Order: sequence, then C-alpha cells, then structure tokens
Amino acid sequence: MVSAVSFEAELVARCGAGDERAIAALYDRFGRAAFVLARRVTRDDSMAEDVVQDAFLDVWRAAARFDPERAAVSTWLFTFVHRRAIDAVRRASVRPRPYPGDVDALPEPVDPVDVAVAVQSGEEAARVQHALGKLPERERRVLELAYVRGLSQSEVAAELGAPLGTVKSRTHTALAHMRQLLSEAAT
Amino acid sequence: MTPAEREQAEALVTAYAMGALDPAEAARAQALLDDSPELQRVFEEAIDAAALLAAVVSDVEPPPGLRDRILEAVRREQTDTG
Repeated sequence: MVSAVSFEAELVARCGAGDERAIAALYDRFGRAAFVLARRVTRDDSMAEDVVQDAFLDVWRAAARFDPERAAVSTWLFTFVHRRAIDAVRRASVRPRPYPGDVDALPEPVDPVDVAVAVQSGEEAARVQHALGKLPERERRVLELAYVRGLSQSEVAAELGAPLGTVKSRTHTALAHMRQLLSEAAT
Repeated sequence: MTPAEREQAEALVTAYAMGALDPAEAARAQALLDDSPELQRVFEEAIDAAALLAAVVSDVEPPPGLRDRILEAVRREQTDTG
C-alpha cells in the first residue's frame, strides 16, 4: 500500500512536472483546510479566497523545488497559505476581529469530538478527532475556544480567567501534542 | 535567550501559526521567525496541526468556484511560461 505521505509528495512532484491534475488533487485534499486557515488569519471570506488561490499558485511554481525530506507536504503548503494571508492582512491593514456570529452561535462547552463528527467525515478528520480526544482536558479547552469559537489568545485568556502567557504556552503545548499524536497516527 | 524567553517565543510563534495574533504581535512573531531556524521549526509543527484542526472543527466550505479559478490560473501560467 502506498502511504498517504508519499502519495502527497508524488502529487507535488507531478505538479513540478506540469501535471495540472495533480494540483487539482492537492486542492481536493487540502483546499478546505487552506481556506479555513486563510479565513482565520484574515477574518474575511473574499480575502481568504484570494489568499488560497495565490497560495496554490505558489505551490505550483515551487513544486519542482519541494524537498520531501525537509517537510511534510501539508506543512509546506499551509506555510504558503499563512504567508499569503499575513501579507493580505498587512496590505489591507484590517484589524483582526472575532468572526461575526460565531461566538454567540456556538453554545459552550462544545464537545470537539461531536463537532468533528458532525462536520466532516473521512480519514483525515478521523485522525484529527482521535488526536483531539486524547488531549488532556485543559489543553483541549484552549483549542476549542480558539478554533470552535474563533477567539483570539487574549479573548481565550479572558474567557478562562487565566493569564495570557499561560494561555499561549498551553496552546503551544496542545498543538505540539496534537502534532505528535497526528504523526503517530500517520505511521 | 533564557529558557523562559524561549518558552514565550515558542508560544508566540505557535499563536502566529494559528492566526490568533493582532498585526503588531504578528510582526513581532515574524521577526523572531526570520532570526531563528529553530523557531521556524516550531512554527511549522504548529501550522500543520492548527490547519487540520481548524478544518475539522469548522463547518466553513471554500467558495464553489475557487477550485476552477485555481486551475485556470495554473493553465494561464503554463501558457505564459511554457
């Protein structure tokens, strides 16, 4: 069986060779996550759309230089998205703000496992959901507030009544933990 | 960098990867990243988990025309350069 990881690297190699079906396949795999990330950074749907388009074009142009030994395809691709999103925010000088409606729309506490099941099926979602379920409660909580409710780090701190520094380091630990669980699940 | 400063810096670039910083803090995070390959690695580790997690817990879908727009842009690129 070809592993998902080498299949993704193969898609990038095919982009490098000019195969446009490969960029379509990468979009089908990562497009949604790229859009959600772009939207989270820019807080603006139309800006996020342009960001994702530019980022996939970056991926296409840089594909021949991709080194699978150095980074996972997902990491490499999301880095383009993030860079484009930060540039777009800087150009627009738009102050980030909470998503309109999101904060009130979702009652707390939200069970991330239920949310994940409701929102997306598929292997990737199952892996993320599994990892999320294994996190200690306090780590999961900061990720929930940040991602499910779209709060900034300062808003998470206010919500939990915890110092900002604590929230930041806990988020860092939680994501590092997630990352570790995800890579364990991938092998 | 003292261990405490190092921890703060890691936390900052993690929040940056999540898109959870205001522009001033984001600029500070980027400056730290530009200076430190080690922090760059922390950032890369965070961005992967952050993006996948964000996608799973969000019910946002990209606009339906986006995939075609990307393919068109790629085709234009091939015509221009190839």
